[in-house]
Amino acid sequence: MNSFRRLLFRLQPLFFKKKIETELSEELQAHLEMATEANLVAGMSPEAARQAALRELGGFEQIKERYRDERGLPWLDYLVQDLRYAIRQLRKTPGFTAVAVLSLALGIGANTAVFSLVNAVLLAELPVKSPGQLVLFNWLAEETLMPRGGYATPDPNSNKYTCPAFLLTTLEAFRANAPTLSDVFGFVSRDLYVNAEGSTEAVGGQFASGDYHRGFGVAAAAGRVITADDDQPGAEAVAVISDRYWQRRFGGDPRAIGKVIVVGDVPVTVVGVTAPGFNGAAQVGYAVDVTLPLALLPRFVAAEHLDQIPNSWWVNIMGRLKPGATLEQTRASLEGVFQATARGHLEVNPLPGVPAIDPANIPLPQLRAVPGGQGLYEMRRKHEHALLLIMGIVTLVLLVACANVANLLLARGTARRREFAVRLALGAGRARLVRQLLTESVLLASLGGIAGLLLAWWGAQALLALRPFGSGLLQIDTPLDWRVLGFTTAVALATGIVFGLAPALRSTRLNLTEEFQGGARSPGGSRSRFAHAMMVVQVALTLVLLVGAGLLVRTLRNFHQVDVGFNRESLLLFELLAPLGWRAPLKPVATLDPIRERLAALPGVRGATYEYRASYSWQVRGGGVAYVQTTKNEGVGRNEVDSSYLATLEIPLLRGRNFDPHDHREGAPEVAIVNQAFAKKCFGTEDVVGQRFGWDPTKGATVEIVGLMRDARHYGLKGEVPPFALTPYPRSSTSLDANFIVRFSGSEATALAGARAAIREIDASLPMTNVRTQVEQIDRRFAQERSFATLCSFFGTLALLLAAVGLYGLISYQVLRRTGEIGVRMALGALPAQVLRMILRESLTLVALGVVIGGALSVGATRWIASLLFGVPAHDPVTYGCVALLLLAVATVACLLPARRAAKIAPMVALRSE
Amino acid sequence: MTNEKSELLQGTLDMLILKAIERDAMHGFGLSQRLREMSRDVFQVEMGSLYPALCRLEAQGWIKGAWGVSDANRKARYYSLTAAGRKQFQAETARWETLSSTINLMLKAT
Repeated sequence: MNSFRRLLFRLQPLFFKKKIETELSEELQAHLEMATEANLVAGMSPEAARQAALRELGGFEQIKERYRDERGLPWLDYLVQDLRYAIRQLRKTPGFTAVAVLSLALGIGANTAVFSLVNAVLLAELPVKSPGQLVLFNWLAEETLMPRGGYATPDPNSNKYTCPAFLLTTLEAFRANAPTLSDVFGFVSRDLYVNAEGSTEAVGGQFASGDYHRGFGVAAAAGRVITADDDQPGAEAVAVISDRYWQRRFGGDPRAIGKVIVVGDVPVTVVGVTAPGFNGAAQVGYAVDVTLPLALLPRFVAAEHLDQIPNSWWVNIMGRLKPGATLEQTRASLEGVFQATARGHLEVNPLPGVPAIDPANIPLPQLRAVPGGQGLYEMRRKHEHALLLIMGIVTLVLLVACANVANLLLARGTARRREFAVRLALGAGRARLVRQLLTESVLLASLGGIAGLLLAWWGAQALLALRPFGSGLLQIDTPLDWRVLGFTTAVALATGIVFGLAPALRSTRLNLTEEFQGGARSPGGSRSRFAHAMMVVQVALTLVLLVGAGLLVRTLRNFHQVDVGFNRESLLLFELLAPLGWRAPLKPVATLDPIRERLAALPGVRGATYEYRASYSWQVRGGGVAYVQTTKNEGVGRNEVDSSYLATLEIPLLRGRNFDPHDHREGAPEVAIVNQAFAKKCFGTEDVVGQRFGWDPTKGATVEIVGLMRDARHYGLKGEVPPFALTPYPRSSTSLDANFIVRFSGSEATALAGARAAIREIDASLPMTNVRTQVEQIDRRFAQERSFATLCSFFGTLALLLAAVGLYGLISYQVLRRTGEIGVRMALGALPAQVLRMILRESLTLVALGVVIGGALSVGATRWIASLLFGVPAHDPVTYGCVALLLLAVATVACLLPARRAAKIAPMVALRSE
Repeated sequence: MTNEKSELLQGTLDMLILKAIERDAMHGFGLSQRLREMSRDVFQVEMGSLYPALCRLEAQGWIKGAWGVSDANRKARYYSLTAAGRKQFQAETARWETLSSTINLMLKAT
């Protein structure tokens, strides 16, 4: 209580400054008068009495100063004083202030932008009630145990595979048997085709159990959320939409509640809108806009697949812990329940190189319970590396900006030498001066930080648009929450101190005698050394960025030049996928042929074909295993194609024959066309026509090889060409999943329009989706490398500009300072050309030093992007050399102007101004 | 007193001020006179130490300052001891006694 009282006491001067000062003055005055009187009484003369009293009292100002130290918060007083002074100083030199603030804004803004991404992807929790109490379930199993209808990914901490999806029965079992959880809910994420307000589009959607919103604690911004009543079979079809979808589609109109939207071909009524900011708990970047009850799922699945619903692993399960319960308790209590429901639903899929599992003795999967405050997190972990890399890049830029501003401050400090000398002579402590200069630099940094915040919002969106995480465009909200603001504040403060401290210390280290004795002499060498060091730092960091950019640009070129084995130009790709929710009477695959013929007959189309899995997409990566002679099994890629495939893609057939209509008949003997790599790997020779292999070890070698095609790349651009096998498009397929490939000549737009028209004529209800060219599809494979190349180039150029401007400023200033010296040189006979060469030589030595140091740094730094490079070594001398030359060239240009100015100095004028 | 602002001297000055105004409220000048008188002219407190000390004591709530009128009809600020101040004074006196007797003991040791 006492300290609180003391604090209040100390805060009074803030508000009652005048009153307190006046009172103290009066008190001291009274003291003086009383002392004078006492002296008078003692017999002194009036003047002597007063003198004695004054002497005894001491200096009024000193007393007041020490009183103030006790009375108020002295540091606060000084701070306010310093701030006002700093503002005045900065306003006096608007040019300097503008340049400094701009440099800092760019540096701090870039960092904040990246951090807001880091925040959104790695740090931020779901905007729900008590996210710390949420639990997310996943399970761990051997690699060869496959969840039907789902997928498993390698677990980073063990050599097993993990999967976040479960069976529907598991969800129900958990709900019935979870003593430590107050809520258990599940969801299935799916893209939905929604017709709202007259137009259809694909949106991120999900099917959620009835207690989904309650479990999360998400309230409705309008209408209501999904309840358990909606999640009953036969209940009315309702949907809850996200706030962002509501704003985008319905303009935030409250009358949207009650409207009917058509999802796929099922009409649903919109009953509510969730609170802003909540976009589901799916993988980061997947925003769930439309939520339907889990009970509606059967209406979106083809009739013959209905029995798969309970047997597929596709539900993500989360729960909310009761107070006091732990994750371990939850896991232990539910593991048995999980394993009971899992039994019999895991397929054993033998893989080459992986020890086989005895079907009679399948090991049970293990349940894991992890904190669910961030929702599904596998993608977050994946993006971590990319984010940290980008963070490193922008930190380098900030350091360059700091070095720049430090030099500017140093120059300014030198100009204000006289002012500092006077203040020091008057008795100001050096610490006080340094503190004041630091206030100026922190103020600059704060201004830069505020401007940077504005830049950052726009910057984060621009960064996302570059697709630094791969080809998918992530929909991430980057809100300005306390973490981002705290980060910006911390960076601004740290920056202000970092670039401000050294110049402040240097500027106040003055030899007062020298200063006042006509100190137009050149200032100490230490100041120049510092400025030079800063310049070297800038050049070095710029080099690192540009080397990174150069390596990545070359990587991109290498990607483009890879021989993919087929003609990738002028190929239009699209899908006639039957999306979830599209259910017309099923068309047998025989419809595909007329479509293909129609397309091939279009003007400007040189060929059309279709395939089951799209090349260069994830679909073709999950290939198959070929069993050869029952002793060798090789992992191979496979695709099911039409007989016009090879012709359309222009892949030469080296031996044997193509598929013919006979092969496409139902029940026909299995055939395949393989590539050279397949032949060499499985048979050791290219003479494989007529040989056989099998897809299933139990069924023997049922497939006959009828043709050999030239090696072509269907998925990866790096490494050896993998073995690949083509088989005829499965006639027995009753679904319409097909990827079409059309080779066109002329304009892509015309071909696309023609294709759309042709398909609409055949069947108006078929949606043509995912339209792109083959070149674009392949480019997606290295979207991440491309975005990093863009980032490095952009920031490298920015750093180069900053460094060039800084160099120009530095050399100009030095020429100015050395005017006298140069005058003497020229008076003694130096030619202007010699002076020019001297300035250039000195400056470029500096730059060269920076280049060398930067080169050394790059050798270490390129380690971080080594995984992105392709076809170019991380220490490629050509790239390093080119970047070094570029830097030297730019530096020469930057130094040229001041150097020429030096050469033009008239010796008489220079010496006279000394 | 010298100009050193050692902790010991600061605390001791506080204690002595409390003693000086134990009986009567005093203003700054009167206080300095009283301190000189009490120490038989050995201690002459600098105003630069006295006034900050008064401020400190007031902040702690051990003395209270109020404007009043002196005998010579002059406006002056009078400081008086509060109840808490009285208690503090007793505590500090006790501490000082212990301290000084211990030091004396140590100085007498061989």
